[in-house]
Amino acid sequence: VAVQTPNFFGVIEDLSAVSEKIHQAQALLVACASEPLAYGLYKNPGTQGADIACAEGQSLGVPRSFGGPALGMFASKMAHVRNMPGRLVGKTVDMEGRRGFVLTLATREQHIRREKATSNICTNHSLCALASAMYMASLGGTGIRELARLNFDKTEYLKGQLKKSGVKIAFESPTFNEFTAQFPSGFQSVYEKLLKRKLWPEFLCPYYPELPDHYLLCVTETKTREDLDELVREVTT
Amino acid sequence: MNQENSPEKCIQGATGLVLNEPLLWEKGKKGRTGISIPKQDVEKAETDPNLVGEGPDFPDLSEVDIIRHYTRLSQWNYGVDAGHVSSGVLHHEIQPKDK
Repeated sequence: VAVQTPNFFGVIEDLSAVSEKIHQAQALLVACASEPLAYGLYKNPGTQGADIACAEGQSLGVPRSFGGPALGMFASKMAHVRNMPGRLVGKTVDMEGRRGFVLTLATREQHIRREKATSNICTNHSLCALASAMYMASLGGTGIRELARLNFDKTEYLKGQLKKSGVKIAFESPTFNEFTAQFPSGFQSVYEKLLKRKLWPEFLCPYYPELPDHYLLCVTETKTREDLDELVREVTT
Repeated sequence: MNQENSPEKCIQGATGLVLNEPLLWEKGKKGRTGISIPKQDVEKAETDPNLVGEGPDFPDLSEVDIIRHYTRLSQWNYGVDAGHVSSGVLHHEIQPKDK
């Protein structure tokens, strides 16, 4: 059973609770995330019972490039590694006891399984993964915590300011750096004005016709308090 | 030329790959960071203690720690600029240097 958290609406799911039910039914819990930075602040999927975890890695140092090359992140409990696509590198020692690294498991890769392969890793994936590793190294343990915290605090600030101005927050559950707001009907014209100014809430109606006037907003460390105040002014006047 | 520097004794370059760079986890120091994080210009928000975790086990490194680490690894890269690389099935057409 695949569960996305933070989910499409930006809400954090209670993985521990669903994990229990899923495992009672003898199924596996696959946790997915489009924003892995959330785990700089929140409990990681493994500690909450996920058997497999995957995430979009683009926000960890890979440019947007019009949606172009990025990387996926993939982890599993040891029990499932033989079914895993991709290549696992293991640590070992040579005959003189020196540490070395070697391609250990690639059971589902193109050159091992041919027609039964489930993955095909190419040079460009490695390049994106290397850039991402450097970005994560640059952040470090302290940095990733600080950055995640900053994303969370700024998002909560915008949420609070919108609430004060009378905008309805669609879901009361905790979020990370995205949340869903319900604007008054007729917001479409304000939305189009915002698009021209490159302030870009995402309109959810095309995906969920039952949620008219709902918009998804995202705040990262790149936005200042002034930017957020400006957005609040724009949407409420 | 003395015995030490004779061509037979002098090693001009190690053959193969000598990968003895420490791991990033073995370098750095708590509190270092390699990027400039924008300043906190909003109030700290309250988090749900049941959801908050410890964060990933990453080392704390300065920018120069990281640059030196990856530059060192890149210098050990073996490719057509360092020696012969036999053509693979996928990329033989893009190795003009090896012809």
